[in-house]
Amino acid sequence: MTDSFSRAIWISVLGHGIVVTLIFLRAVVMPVEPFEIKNAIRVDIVGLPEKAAEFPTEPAKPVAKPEVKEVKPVPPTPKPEVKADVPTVPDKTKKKDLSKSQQKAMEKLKAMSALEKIKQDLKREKDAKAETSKVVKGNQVSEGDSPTGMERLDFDRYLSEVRATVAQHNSVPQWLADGGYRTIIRVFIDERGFIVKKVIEGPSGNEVFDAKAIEAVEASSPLPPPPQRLRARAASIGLLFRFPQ
Amino acid sequence: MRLFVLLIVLLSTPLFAQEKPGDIIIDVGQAAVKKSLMAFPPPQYIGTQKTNAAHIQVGQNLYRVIVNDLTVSNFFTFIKPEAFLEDTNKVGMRPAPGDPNGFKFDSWKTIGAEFLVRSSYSVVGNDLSFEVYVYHVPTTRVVLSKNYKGATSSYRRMAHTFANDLVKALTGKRGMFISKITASRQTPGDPVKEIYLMDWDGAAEQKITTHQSIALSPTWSTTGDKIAYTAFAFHKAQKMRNSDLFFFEIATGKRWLVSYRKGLNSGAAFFPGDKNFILTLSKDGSADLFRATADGQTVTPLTKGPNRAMNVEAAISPDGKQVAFSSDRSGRPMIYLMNADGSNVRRLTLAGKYNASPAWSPDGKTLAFAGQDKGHFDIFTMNTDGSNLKRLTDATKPNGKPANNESPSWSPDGRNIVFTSDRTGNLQLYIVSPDGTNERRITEDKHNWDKPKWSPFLD
Repeated sequence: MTDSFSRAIWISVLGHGIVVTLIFLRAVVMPVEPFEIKNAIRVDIVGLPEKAAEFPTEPAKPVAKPEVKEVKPVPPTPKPEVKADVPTVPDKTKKKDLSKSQQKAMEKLKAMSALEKIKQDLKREKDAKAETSKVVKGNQVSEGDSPTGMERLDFDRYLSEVRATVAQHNSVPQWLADGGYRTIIRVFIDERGFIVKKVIEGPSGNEVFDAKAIEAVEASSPLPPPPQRLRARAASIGLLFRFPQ
Repeated sequence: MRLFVLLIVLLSTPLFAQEKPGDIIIDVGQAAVKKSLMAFPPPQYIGTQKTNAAHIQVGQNLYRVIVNDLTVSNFFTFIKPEAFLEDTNKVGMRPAPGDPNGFKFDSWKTIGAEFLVRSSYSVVGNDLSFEVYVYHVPTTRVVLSKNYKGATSSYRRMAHTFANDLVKALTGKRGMFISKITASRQTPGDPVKEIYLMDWDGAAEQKITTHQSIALSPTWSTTGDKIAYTAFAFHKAQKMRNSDLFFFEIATGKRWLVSYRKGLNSGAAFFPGDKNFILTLSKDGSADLFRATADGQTVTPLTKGPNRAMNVEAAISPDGKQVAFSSDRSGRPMIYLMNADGSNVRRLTLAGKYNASPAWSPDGKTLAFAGQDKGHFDIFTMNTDGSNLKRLTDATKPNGKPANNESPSWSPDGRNIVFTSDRTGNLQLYIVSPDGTNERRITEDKHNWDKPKWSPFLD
């Protein structure tokens, strides 16, 4: 038993010795194959876009109503004493669907509008006094006549509606589409919104393109009635329409 | 000094002087686009032999080609003859009251026609004469009046010329109707491929090679006078075939061997003026792009790998300054862009698994290519910086599986792209507008058409 065991051990040791010797000889005698290291390859597998179901031919629709929260103009901070006298404005236009923040903004705007009214009253009084005293103010910067507050909202809403109405009727033939033409038309609008006169002020150079722009304007009459403050201007100076822009 | 002051004044003048300070301006935005209604009765035969069927046939063929051209222009919708209020065979080609027997504009205004085409033709012997007037009905003005004369066999060219003239009269831009398409054609079951020429509408096929071998990848020179193609020509000395590059001169029918280096000699693309061209050579092992002189004798490498990557399918921009090509240097074939001297290589496509066959739009602003992401190819367009990627095709085969749409090439006016599609089983040629609309088949046969290339303007 002992002899056979020790014989097996010797055979095992001899076998391992031969294997180790062979590996050693191979490493010393036979050449090592070069190991090539290449740069990493980036493979992007990203889906390509699907074909668009419909390709837009209609003009982009304008935003129908500007959101209250987007109104940025902020009138100057009123004086504290004036602020104390601000009358509370009854909220007749309150809508249930307005969010809390929108509602707050609306209230703020209305408050500012009321402030403006007070300011304008004060200014009128001041101007009246100035008129009586005949003092020439001279080199002073005008406060301007740009609408602000609720008036600005009405103003923007009106222009947006007018633009949308005309855009609905604005179409050109395919053969004119890539011509790069541009027409400018001055349009006079009465207080009911009817177009009373239109004049091509910037002809495109193409009679048909100009005619199509005029057609779009004519087909849009009557437009929404202009806001109070814009009425005189829309009727006497008119609005400029740029086709396409 | 005066000149300087004048320049300052001019520059400071507003572009539209009619806009006054304080004006309220409303930008109406882009208009909707629609096709114009056109009334186009068939041309009246005014020849003396009223019963000559051959003459009548010429008129019908002429009319058919014109209607097809004007339909593909995408400018017009034709009013059906049943809606006409006048008998076009009984009224003249000019309007009343100038012509007592003339047509009345009111008759055409009533049915909403924007354009009216009145035409007549006659055949004397082998000579065809075609007189045509195009009226803009709302303004009662003549848009075009022409008289075309030629051999009866040239009726197709006459029709294409009229269509081109009308497009030019309306848009001020050249029409593509006299351009041609070249492609390789193979009959199923037959390994032989030969190069063919055809009109843009797939008609008037003309075989230009007879190698009885595989001829493929034809390309137009920028002047349109010759075509480069690759054919597996037999080299007697080596007793083997090699993919050699040939030039074929269309006017003379002359053909000559340009590059026959060992391996690939293919994928030619001409620089503007045709003094130099780019081709793919594999003489050094891997396929790379080389710039060659017109005779093909001197070549300069533009790409080299890396890592033995393939660089093929060069497409030179219309201004000759940039080269788009496909390469698998990133692992998969993608579209790349480089300067014409091989510098400034940048990758354009990052999406998809296999993007190939880049083709420049004639204005140099857009690249079309064939892209694969879900096992089939479709035609795509993108800006030359790789942005604004759009898929133009998505057709399916009769079995409901997606078809392969490949090998795009732009029409010279940039209003159409020709490509191959296997949606009907065989590879056929189709055209599509660059926005993916107005897809039309232009070959209707049992052959396989491959690698079509649209010619430059040929008129």
